[in-house]
Amino acid sequence: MDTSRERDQSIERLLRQSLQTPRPDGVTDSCLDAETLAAWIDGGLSGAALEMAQTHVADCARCQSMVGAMARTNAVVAQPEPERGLRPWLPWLVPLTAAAAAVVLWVAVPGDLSTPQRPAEEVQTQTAKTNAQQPASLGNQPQASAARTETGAASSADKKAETQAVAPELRKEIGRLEADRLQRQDAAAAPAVALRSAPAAATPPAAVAAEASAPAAAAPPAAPTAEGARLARSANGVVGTITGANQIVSPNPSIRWRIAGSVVEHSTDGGSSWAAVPTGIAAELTAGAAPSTLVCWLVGRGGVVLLTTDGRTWRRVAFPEITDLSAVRATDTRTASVSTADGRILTTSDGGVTWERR
Amino acid sequence: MPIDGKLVDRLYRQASAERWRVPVHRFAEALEASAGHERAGAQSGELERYLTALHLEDLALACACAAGDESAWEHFILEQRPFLYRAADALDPGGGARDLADSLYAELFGLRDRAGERQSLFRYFHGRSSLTTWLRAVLAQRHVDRLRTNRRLEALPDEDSSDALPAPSSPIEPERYRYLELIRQTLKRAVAHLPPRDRLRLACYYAQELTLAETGRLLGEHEATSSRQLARTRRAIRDDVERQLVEYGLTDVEVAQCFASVSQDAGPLDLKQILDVGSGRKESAPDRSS
Repeated sequence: MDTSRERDQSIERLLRQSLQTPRPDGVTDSCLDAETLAAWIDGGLSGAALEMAQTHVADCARCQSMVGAMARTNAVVAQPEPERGLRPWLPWLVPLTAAAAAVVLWVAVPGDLSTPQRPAEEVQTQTAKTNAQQPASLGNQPQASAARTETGAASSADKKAETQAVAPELRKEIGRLEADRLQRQDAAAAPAVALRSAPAAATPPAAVAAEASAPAAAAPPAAPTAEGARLARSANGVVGTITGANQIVSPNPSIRWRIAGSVVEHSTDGGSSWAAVPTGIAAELTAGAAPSTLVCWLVGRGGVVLLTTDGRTWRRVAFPEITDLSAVRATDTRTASVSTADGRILTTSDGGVTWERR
Repeated sequence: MPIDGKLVDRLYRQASAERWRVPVHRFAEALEASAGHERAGAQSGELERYLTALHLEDLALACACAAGDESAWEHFILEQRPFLYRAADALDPGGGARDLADSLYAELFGLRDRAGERQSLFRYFHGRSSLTTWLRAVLAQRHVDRLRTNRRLEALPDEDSSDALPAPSSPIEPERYRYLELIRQTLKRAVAHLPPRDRLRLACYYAQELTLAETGRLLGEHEATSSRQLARTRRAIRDDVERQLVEYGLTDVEVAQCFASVSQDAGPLDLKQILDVGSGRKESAPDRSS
C-alpha cells in the first residue's frame, strides 16, 4: 500500500490543499503594484528588482492571486493586435504560417510526439480513428500518416530528443496562432468566414496529418482540412485533446462551442457569431466532445467535468480525482471517457454518477 | 533627474509622440518619472539603455490620454477595450469583472481635477510594460482585492442552507487525525525551508494552477526546467517530511500511516474550497504541461 509513488501522490495532494488554503495576508508595502507586475510579465524587470518581486510573491497570497489572475487573462488576450487597419494580406498570414508550421512539423519531427498530456497509445488510437474517417479527397493522407506512425515507432533516441526539442516551440507557435485567429474572428466576422473557406486548396495535406498526430496543444489553426478532420471526429462524438482556445463541433457543424481558458461560447451559425455561456467554473477548460447538437461534455483542470444537455446550461459532473483532465470522448449524455493529463482514462456510463478506471 | 535633450528628442521621435501632439517637455517628464520610479540612471549609459527599452509608443499615448487628447483617447479605447473586456471575462466568466473594467475608464480619463490638473490613472504607467499588460495588471489587482474584500465580509453559511458544507459522513478516527496533523505540520515546515524561488514555483503551480509554461515564463525558465525543478522540490519536501516524522519519534509503520492518512482523504473535492482561493482554483497533475 505504502509505495514510493503513493507517498509522492500524498505530498502532491498535501501541497495542493495547503497552498490553496486561503491565507489572510493583507496589503503590505512590499506588495507589487500593477505597474511592477506588468513589467515583470513583460520582461521589464531584471536584477535586484526581479529578485525582490519573486521573493515577495513567494510568500504573499495576494500577489500570488494577482499573478494567477494575470496568467488567466493571457490565453484570451493573446497578442495585442488592434482591430483597426488590417492589411489585405494579413488575414492570410495566419493560415499560411500555420501551414508552414505544419510542414516543418512534418519534415522535422519524424518521431511520435507523445507528451505527458496524452499517452502514446491514445495518440495512435486517435490517429487511426482520424485516418479511418478522412474525407475521400484526403484519401492519400491516412497512408502518409500511418507511414509516419510506423517511422515514429522505429525512430532512434536521437530523433526523439530532436522531437522533444522542436515540438514545444512549435506547439507554442501554433497555439499562439490559434488564439490570434480566434481573436480576429471576433473582431471581424466576415473576414473570418473568408479565412475559413478560402485557403482550402492552399493548405498542405501535412496539416491534416500533423493535426491528427500532434499531441495536446498542437491543434493547428483554422486550416479547413484540419477543421474537416475535427468535424469527422466529432460526428462520432469524439473530439481530440485540444488545449487553449478551441472549438467543439457537434454533428451539425452549425452548432458548436468554443473554449478559451475558462470561457465557453456557443455558436449556432457555424462560428460566425458567438455568445458567451456562463458555466460558473473558473478552472481552465482543456477539451470537449459534442455527441449531439444539445449535448456537450467539457473537461478541464482540477477534475472539472461539465455537461450540457440543452446546449446552454452547464452542470458540474462529479469527478473522483483532482487532477488535470486533457481529453474527453462521449457518445451521449451518460457515456463518456475522460483522459487525465498523466495518461489514465476513466469512464462513466451513468452521466458521471460513477466512474471506472479503464 | 534631468535627461539629456538629444536623448529626449530621439526617444520622442521613436515614440511617434508628435502623432498625439504631446509636448516634448511633458514627454520628458514622463521619461524622468519612469527612470525615477525604477531608480535607473546611476550612470548615463544605464539610463539610456533603460529608457530605450521602454514601450515608448505606449508611453506617448498614455501621456496624450492623461492630458485629455481626444484623438489619443479614441485610439486608446478602440485599441484596448476589446482586450480589457476579454481579460475581464476571463477573470470572471459570469461578467462580474466587466464593471471593474468599465470603472477603470473613468479613472483613466481622470475625472478629478486637483489644482486645475487632470489626475489620470495613466500617471502610474511608466512604460516598463505594454499598455495592454498594464491594464490587465490593474484589472487583475482590482479583481483580486475585491474578491478578498468580499471574502472577509462574507458571512458563514447557515447550517441549514444548501451552501453549508456537509458534515463528514463518518467521524475521523483520532489516530488518523493525529497523523494528518503531523504530516501537515511537517509539510508546512518543509515548504518554509525552501528557497523563495522554489516556493514561488510551487505557489504558481499548485496554488494558482498555472501551467508549466506559464510558470516557467514567470520565472524566466523553460517549461521543461520548471517541470524538473518541481519534481526536485517535491522530492526534497518528501525527504524532509519523512526525516521530520522520524525525528518526531515515529516508526516506519507510523510514517507510512501518516502518508496513508492523506491518500485516504481522497474523497470528492470540495469545489467551494478550491474556488475560494482568491482568484485561483484548480488541481494539477505531476506532468501538467502547457
